[in-house]
Amino acid sequence: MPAQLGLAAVAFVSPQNYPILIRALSSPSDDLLKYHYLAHTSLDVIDERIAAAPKNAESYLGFLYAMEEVAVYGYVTPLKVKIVVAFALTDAVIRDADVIAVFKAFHLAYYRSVANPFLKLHVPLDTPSEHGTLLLAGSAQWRGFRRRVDEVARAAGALPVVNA
Amino acid sequence: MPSMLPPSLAPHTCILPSQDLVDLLASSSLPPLPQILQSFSPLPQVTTRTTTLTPVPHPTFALRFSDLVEIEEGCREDEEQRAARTLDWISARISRRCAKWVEDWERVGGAAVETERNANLRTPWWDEVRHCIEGDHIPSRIEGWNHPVAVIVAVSTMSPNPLQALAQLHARPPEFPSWVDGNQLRYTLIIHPKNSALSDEEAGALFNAVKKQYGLHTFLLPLELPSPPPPPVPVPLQPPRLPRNPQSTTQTPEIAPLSPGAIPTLPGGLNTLRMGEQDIQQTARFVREFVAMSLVPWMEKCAVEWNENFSSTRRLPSRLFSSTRRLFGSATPSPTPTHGQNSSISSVTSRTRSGSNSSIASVGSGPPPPPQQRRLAEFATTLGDLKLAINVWETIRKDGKGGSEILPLLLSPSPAVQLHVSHALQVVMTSNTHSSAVAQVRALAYAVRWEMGCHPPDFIGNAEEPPSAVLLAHAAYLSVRKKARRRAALWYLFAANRLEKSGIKPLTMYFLRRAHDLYKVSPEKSLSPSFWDSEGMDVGSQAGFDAIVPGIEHALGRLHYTTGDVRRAVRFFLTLLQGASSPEQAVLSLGTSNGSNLELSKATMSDKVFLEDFRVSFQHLKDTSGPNFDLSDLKLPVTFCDVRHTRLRLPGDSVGGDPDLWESREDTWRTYWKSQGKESLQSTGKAAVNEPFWVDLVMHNPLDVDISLANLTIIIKESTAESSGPSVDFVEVEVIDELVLGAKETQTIPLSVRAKRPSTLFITQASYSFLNLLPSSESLAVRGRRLQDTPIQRQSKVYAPDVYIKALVEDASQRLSVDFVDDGRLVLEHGECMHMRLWVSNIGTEAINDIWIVAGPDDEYCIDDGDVADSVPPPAFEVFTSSNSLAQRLPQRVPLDKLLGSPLAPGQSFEFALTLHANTVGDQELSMAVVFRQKERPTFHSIRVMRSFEVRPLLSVASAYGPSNDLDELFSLDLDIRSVPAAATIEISQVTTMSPTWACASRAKRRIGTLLPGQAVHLPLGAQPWDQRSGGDETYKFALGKLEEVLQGSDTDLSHPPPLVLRCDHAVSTSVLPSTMQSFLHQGRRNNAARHIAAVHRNLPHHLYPAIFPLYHPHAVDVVIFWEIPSEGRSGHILVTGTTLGAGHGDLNGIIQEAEEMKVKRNMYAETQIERSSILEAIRASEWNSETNPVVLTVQGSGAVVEHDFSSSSCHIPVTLSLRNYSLTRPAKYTFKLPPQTPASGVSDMAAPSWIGRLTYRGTLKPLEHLLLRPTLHATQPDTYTLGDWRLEIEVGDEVPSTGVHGWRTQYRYVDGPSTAAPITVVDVSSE
Repeated sequence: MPAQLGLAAVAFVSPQNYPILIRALSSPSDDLLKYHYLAHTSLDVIDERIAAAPKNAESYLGFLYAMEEVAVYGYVTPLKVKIVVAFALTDAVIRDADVIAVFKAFHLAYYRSVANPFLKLHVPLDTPSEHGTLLLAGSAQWRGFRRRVDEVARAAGALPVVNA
Repeated sequence: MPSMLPPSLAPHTCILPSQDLVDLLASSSLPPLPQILQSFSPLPQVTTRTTTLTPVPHPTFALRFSDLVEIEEGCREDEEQRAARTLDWISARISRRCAKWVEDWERVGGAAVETERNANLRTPWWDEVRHCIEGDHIPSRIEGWNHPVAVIVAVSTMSPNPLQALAQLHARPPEFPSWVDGNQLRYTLIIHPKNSALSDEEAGALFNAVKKQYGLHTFLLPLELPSPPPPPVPVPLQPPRLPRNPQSTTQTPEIAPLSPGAIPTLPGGLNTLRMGEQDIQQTARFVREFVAMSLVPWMEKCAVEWNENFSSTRRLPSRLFSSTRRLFGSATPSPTPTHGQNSSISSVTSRTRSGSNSSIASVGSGPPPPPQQRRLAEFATTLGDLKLAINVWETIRKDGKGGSEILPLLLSPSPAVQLHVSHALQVVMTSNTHSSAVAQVRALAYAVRWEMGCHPPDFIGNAEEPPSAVLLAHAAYLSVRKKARRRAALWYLFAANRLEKSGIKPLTMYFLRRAHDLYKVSPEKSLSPSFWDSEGMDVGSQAGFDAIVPGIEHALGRLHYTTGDVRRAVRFFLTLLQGASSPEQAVLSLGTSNGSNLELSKATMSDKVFLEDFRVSFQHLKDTSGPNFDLSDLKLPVTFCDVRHTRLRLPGDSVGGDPDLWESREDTWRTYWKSQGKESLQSTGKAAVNEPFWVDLVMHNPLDVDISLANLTIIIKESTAESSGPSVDFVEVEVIDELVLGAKETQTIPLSVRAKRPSTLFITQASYSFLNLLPSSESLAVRGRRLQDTPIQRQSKVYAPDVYIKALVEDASQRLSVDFVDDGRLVLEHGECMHMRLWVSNIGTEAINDIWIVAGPDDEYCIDDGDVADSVPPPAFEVFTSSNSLAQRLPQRVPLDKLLGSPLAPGQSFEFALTLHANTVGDQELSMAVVFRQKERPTFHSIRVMRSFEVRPLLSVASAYGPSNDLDELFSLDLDIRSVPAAATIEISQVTTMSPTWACASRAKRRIGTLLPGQAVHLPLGAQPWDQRSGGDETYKFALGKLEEVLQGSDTDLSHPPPLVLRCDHAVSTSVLPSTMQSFLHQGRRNNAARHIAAVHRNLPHHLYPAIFPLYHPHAVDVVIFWEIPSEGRSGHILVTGTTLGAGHGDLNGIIQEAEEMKVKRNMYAETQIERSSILEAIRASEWNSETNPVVLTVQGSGAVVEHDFSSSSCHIPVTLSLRNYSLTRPAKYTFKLPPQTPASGVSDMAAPSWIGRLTYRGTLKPLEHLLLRPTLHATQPDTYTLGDWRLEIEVGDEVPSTGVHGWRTQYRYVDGPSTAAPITVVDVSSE
């Protein structure tokens, strides 16, 4: 994975547009609220892109918009979970291939975390939708998702390596 | 293609008036000439021609007029400084007027209009910014729009010498800097007022002279200018203009500042002109002539000329050259001919141009004017020659010299437009990293133009001045129209953040409100209405990202507070107090807050901040708004009461115990009374009048901050009352002054309630004063169950009415209080009989006639009725009749007649004793329901008493039994009684046996005396059949019949077994059992038997036990050991059951076999088969089917030593063999055989005897009969002989008279042989 992409934040948004996890990755951690705004705003753009794109379009939506020193990129998993990544705006060129690699890593992190069977531990069996459990993956009591996201961020150079 | 160009792109004309003209206009109450002329812009119906001479009709043609001096001054001012001034000026204007705007806007429902996408309605703040930016008329270095295209020199005939004045003005060249395009049309205007010194003819002559001298671009404008001035005529509003720089204004004080304030305006904000109709027409004619005859033709001419130049550069060589230049990026000056100055500017890339103008200026003699190409493009645009204009602009853009900012206006909508836009902005913004005022104004100007040209700007700067904020707000406004509401919300928020920094609060608040509204709006979902139902979601449930809204609300609240709108501030702060629900709940309600939000609320803004703000603002509101201020519309968004855990607690409930257990007690009573009468038992759970009961209110604080609730109480309604007023007046409810709940804390708050008359009360609400400020109440209703009865109910969600906590208050007419007198800890020894006293008091108002005690089936107790046993001489044995039923004990009536002799009057109390038998070791509870009523009352009432006690083990008793060797008795029963090591010294006072069949007697006939701890005593008893026994056969028959029914699977009738007579033998001394003891023994036997049956016949239903099994087996022997501990004053008894004496004959075998062979009904459930077979096995192994060999042979005198003198003869010893039939019912045939001569067996070292005389005995033994056989042993030498090798064949059967001569039917056959050696020793006593 390419180093120094300037990863600032990542947001996972459920198909029903609930935030699953919004995590600021740059250190020192910026105002998290800002990334809530960014993620929320990108939903508009993502909606537009999805509406415009053909059915079998790629997951990667590319550059969404730039705002306040960050460039926002979007990605939609086949199950419509939206992943929004904010990169700090620098002079360095951000290649699409790198961004896609980052997105795929985040997607995998999400996928692995949601596969945790214990997410449903306290959820009644007759809960009609799976949606709630997706949200639970991001909640504070399950740290695995955060850990995986941080690992990806570390690999992308956003977070310092712990043992180094 | 735009329908209309922005007015800022209109040709700019400067006017240089003579002093006399200025004076003339002033005296006629008219504004300066530029303003007068401006009032005639735009001109309708102007036709221009393109370079290809195609006419272009313009419905309107805008013009801009301004004072030359002012423009000159403006050009001299530093651009950056002016830009900064512009921004401040706009900010000031917005700030001054925004409050009114917001008010007006909200009045006309601006927010609603936004969503309806009514394009005609414009936000006033944006209009203001737009007008201000459009009103900019100072030429810029970057673009040529504001560069004057014409200079009108104007004089009036009021001048003493108009010609000279003209000459002076013409001689004065425009004092523009070098970068201003000097290519201007000069025009001369002579205004000839009516009151002029010159006559019309003289004026005409003057006009002709001027025309001759200064060319054809001359006009004579005759004006009447009546005095007094005519009424004002409304004219189009002048665009606002930046006030002139105060320093330069002082230098030229003669020119009146051209500010909006100087324009006479009507109160309605309209611009007016006090001109007569005639004058207006004349002026209009002039303006039209100026445009049509001079300005446009001149511009067309310029365009044609420059186009020639432009086209020449587009020819092949130059294009090649220029592309080479582009390719190699050399800075070679372009050969493009420019007019006026050199063309070095063309080499400067757009990237550096805006910032480095001054450096260029230092290179040449001065900054060059705009390149000709650009002017060409601008002229073509103005003239409407769009084809040419686009062409030229494109070229300019390709050369990197701008153009991107205009192209979006000219091109039809396409993706390229956005690229142009972003490029234009990039050029502006990248000029310097920190955006300068110039760049901002520039960007703003572009944005304004684009907006007017119908493309919404897609731009966010990081400037913080109000104009950009307003621009952002406008962007948001447009985004809403585009339905990108999320983006709109963000932009509104950004706009608000910026405006807030500059302190423009009304507009900030409005933007925040809009952002808030937009965040609240969830996108429309085109889903089936049943989707929400199936997902279990609420349609209106707020979508995620709720971390955002609190921030906006908080900011809004703070703004409202600072602007003095405390009421709304309070409301916003109140809505912020949401608290967080648990994650599980969140999942179920689909994400009101997920984990990250929880984290966020802790990290950024906590409830603490919200709460503190709320407290302060509310306190302020309360202080300022006086006493009668309405709080009804303030509702707490959080609830503190946990309704589902809130309970009613009655005084009787403090007894505790398992509710099911009490329920079963009441059921026992109901079952009992069903057969006695129709009166019902009123269930407990009613409070009494004037007696407190409690509501245990569970309060939970969902906020992560401490809160205090004052005056916490509950509101109670009577069931019949309709009103929703405060609590009913006959109920006193406790009020808790202050309750502090910690963050996320849960507390249970008991609130006492006392009703003064009987009623049914509903506890409807909890009320409190939040933070001692906000009175609030919460409903304590629980939603009713979902109804599923009708199809409509099943299809939609219909719920039963809300359920309230109900408290029944009854009259205290029948109230009883029952308590144990001794309340201390109770430790009993196993088997102890404890006298306990109960204190009963009538606390009601009516007498109580009947009291029953209902205890559990296992509790062994007796009510002492005060009878003293008659002191009759004790008989040899006691006989009493048992019901022999396993049925539960019926409720016991307290003998009030005996104890009191009268009903229990109100206020009266009495004590009675209860003997409790501790039958089980361990911690026990005695739970009794006391049922009572007044005589003949239709309802019973009950209260509960409970007593816990501990039972320690004391004695362990083991019993062993078998056929007795003694001929006097049939069986021997040996008891081993062992004291537990930890016990005290025990005295065994009596050992009693109870049996329907057997009479037992101690073989020891002595007192056992004391048992030290750990000591054991052995007590042998002998049992004989009791000759007066009765009821045994019936009992046997009953049990067999019932078991047969069970095995056959037929319904068991609920008949009870016949009574049975029991005989009690006292082994130690003679005594009489008190009647209470008979009851205890019955209860003990019942408990033991029931436990045994429940363990063995696990698969039979419990309620059938009494109908199947009798209490006593007819052959059973129970032993009761009475003990005393004199040192502790304790006494008690232990019942030992489980001994059954006598041989059985497998009476059920036939039935069992029948059941097994019965045609098995195929059943699909394996469980049923397994259950059946287990029932069968249990019955097969039960005591009712025991089968043994009933005949036992014993050798009398075994081990005897016989002395014989062998010298005289051999020895003949008669041996007595006892043969006994232990069966109580069946006769047995026996065949006893002795071996004639047995060789010495290898097994025994004793000699085998030889027998003489009769070796085979046959006969029949009747039930319990015994007989003696006397074979003779022949001993030839002294030895020890063993009586081995005999053989006894037994046939057990019935004598059936009808089957013939013998009349015998054999049931079982047994063969017996010697089990012991039974030696006989013969000793020789010969004399030798």
